[in-house]
Amino acid sequence: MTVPRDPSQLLPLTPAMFHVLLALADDERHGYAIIKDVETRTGGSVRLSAGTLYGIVKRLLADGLIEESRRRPPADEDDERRRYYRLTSFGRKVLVAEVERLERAVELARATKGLKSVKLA
Amino acid sequence: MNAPHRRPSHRFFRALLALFPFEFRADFGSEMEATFEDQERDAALRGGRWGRLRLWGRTIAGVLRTAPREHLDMLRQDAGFTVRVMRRSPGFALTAIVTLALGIGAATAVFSLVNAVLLRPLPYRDAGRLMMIRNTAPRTGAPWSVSYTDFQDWKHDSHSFEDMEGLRLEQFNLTGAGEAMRVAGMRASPGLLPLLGFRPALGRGLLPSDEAAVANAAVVLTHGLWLRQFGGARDVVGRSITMNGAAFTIVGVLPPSFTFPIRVDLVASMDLDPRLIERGNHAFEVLAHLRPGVTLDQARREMATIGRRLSEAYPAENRGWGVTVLGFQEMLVGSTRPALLLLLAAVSFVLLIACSNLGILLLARAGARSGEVGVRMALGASRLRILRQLLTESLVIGFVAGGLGVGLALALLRVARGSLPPFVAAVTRIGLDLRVLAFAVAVSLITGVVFGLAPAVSVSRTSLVDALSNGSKARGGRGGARLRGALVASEVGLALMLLVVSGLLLRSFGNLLRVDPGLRTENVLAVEMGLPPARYNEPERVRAFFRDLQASVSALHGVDAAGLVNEIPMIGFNSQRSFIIEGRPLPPVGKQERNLVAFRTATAGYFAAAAIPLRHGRLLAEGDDTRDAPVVVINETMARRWWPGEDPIGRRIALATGPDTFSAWMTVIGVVGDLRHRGLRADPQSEMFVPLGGDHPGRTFLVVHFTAPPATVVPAIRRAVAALDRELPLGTVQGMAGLVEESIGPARVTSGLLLASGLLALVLAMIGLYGLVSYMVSQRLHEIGLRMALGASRRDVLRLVVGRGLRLTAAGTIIGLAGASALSRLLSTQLFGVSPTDPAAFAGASTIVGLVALAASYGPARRAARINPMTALRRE
Repeated sequence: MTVPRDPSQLLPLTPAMFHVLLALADDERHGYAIIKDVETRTGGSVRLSAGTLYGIVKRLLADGLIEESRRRPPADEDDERRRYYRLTSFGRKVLVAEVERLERAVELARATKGLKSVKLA
Repeated sequence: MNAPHRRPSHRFFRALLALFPFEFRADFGSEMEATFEDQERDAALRGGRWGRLRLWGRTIAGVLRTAPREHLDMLRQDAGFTVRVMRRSPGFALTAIVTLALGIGAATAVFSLVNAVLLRPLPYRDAGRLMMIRNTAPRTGAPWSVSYTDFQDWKHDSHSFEDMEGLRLEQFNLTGAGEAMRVAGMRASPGLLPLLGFRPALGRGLLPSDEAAVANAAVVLTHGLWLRQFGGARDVVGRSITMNGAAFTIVGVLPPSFTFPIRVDLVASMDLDPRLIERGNHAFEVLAHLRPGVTLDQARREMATIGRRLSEAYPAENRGWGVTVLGFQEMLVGSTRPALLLLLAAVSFVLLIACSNLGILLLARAGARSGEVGVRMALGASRLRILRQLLTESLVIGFVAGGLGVGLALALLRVARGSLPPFVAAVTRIGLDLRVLAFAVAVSLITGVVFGLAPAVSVSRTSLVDALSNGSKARGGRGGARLRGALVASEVGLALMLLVVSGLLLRSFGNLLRVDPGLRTENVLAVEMGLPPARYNEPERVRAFFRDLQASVSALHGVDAAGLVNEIPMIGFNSQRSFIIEGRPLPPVGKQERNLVAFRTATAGYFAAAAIPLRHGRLLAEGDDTRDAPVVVINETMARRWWPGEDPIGRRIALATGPDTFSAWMTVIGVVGDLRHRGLRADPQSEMFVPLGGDHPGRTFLVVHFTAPPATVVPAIRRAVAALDRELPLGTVQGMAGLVEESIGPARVTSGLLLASGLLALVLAMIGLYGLVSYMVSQRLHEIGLRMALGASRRDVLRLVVGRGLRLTAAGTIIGLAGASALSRLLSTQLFGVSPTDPAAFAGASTIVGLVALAASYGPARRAARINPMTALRRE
């Protein structure tokens, strides 16, 4: 569907976008599940509001990083208003590229003398 | 699962969602609600009430942050698309933008003028409540200057005003500060400057104690005079200057913001000379602020009562005199209102035409784009999305044109300013203020929305199947065609209205140019001067000076004739006196008997220099001023008015000096031609000339007919004056022709601007007509091809197409003629020597519109007649 693109064109991701992609990296999730996952993963330091989340979802959908999944849970667990999202392969590439970018940035910081005294885990 | 919708918090969340663009809501709305409900349930479980509150805080903040971004995003998409669309058809975009920019520019320029003159308050404190209180003259009821003593009584007795101050204009000879010069002064009571809202930038203002000072009266300089004459020196305060031979002390300098309708170089404290302030001497003007809550009518009634009381108390001086209260702003700018509103109407018409052109262009394009729109709808774009896209397009056109229009308005303003008389221009700051910019933005917005909406709606209504299957045929349909036709017909109508009106004004202006001012204007100049009363305190001295001056200037090389007069025509001063005729009953006091006469004092040379023709009898001559039996020369209007069919020579008249006191009898010795003293537009008035001299003349004009270039004549005149009186400065030197031109300047600019609007309207309307007929041809190519294949001749095709254009024009002409006859009736006060129903203007304008319309339809018609029927048929 999407034209093959260079993932680096979309970098850097905003922290919120990064976390949303991360939340979808293991599993397909609906909106509320994404919010919960991000909150758990970050120990409660990132809490997305519904408005912020769907602004990001809209952009990620438009850029082809995520897509809607047709698989739905059993009817008794489902709310028909929900939609489930999953990472596209392009989205996964972008996420990996972002992680690599962050890694390089951290390495650069570690190699900097002036920052040696600072604890960089 | 279904219950949550009823919870108030859920309803509130739904309401919050309304902040997002429609498309966003359609995509994610219900999903967001579900998410929020889950969040809320969870928050309540974990954090109770506080948890919910925190969630609410986060949610509201999130919506407020994201919703504007989503809107902006949408707008950026639409605008980007618009730019791409316009790049694809630059001709359309350019025509639309230029047309609209012209309309918006003209409208904004004239609106700035209207705003500055009619809407914005004068640059004075509480200008809305600023009033001028004047007397009304006995018999005529004409507004008149006020006597100082009456002014004091008014101030004391009235309750309608919170302050009341007096002023008197006085020309001064300023000496003792560089070269002697004439300056325009204002004598003001101490509170006048604060009343107007001005505080000195340097030193102090006038104080009540200044009025009592017999010597060394106080004077406050204007910023301009301070810079020009005193080099902006800060130590000027306290310096002594001599004006009209008397000593004054400079006490302060006004800020640059000080303005007055008439030129004022300095403000001096009142001169309370007993003769000047006696009750019968109407020499002052009075300004006052209406007390808040008091209406103009109440103030008028109170002042009328006070006036009546004073008439009873002082019958000798005040019998017959009334009091009136006038809004200062209305008094100044009232006369410009008809011309300004006319201009505003004209540019509004131009704007309307430009807008409807845009409408026609958009409608025509709407048809052409229905295919594209169909495709986009097939790809899932909602109707609202398409509507918004199309509206964005017309809004972008509106705003780009608006920006260009404001630039154009700035340039146009320089010209349009000229339509104001100088005394109005002096107190108005014309430019782009917030109100004008708001006007321009509103116009851009409204044109964008209103004229973009109809086409946008018609396109977005396109049904998918229609658009895709029928392609080019589904263009707006019959309704669209009728709307386009109506728009073009109205354009033609509006253009015709403007052309008729500008035709009337042009003819009126032409008549004005043909008016004989009654005196020679070419190679005649007038030099203003005033003899200081302190040194010229004896009649013999004054007479001798004027006699010598006239003789020495007349003898100059390059001077043909020279004379003196107290008032020259066209400059806005017109002294009038009441008079009686020997042997006729006195006109009853209080009756509207118009026995007013314009009063001039002149030397014999004035008639020669200004070439005022003698009709009968003789002119004033040397020695007339010292005769025991005073003489007077009158004009033809006065002779006709008071001695119809009789010979006025030898009759005697006397001037009123009070309600029951009169001057000595004066014998009429001659009748001269009429002068248009009050401007070319005003009918000649009864006018009389008595010999200059005797009484102190105040302001005097030396009128010179020259044959050498003024550059050599004026210095020679200066030398001649200096030879007689080294201390006497000359005032302004004005060419008579220039004064006449100045007096008709506003009429020239107004009719020029109207003509320009009319022509612009014609061009725009014809672009509309041309566009519509071309469009119609392109639409009916198939039909035309078919007709030709079936035997229709090129002539028939020509007739078909031109006929359509002319039918629209005919409809427009009917609208236009009806509109013009209504509009021109409002115009009648502006017209001079032309009837508002002048057939020439109506017929001329209609003919022009008809011919141009014929040409505009003929182009497309010829193209239609030249097509090859086979090609046209194959195209479908």
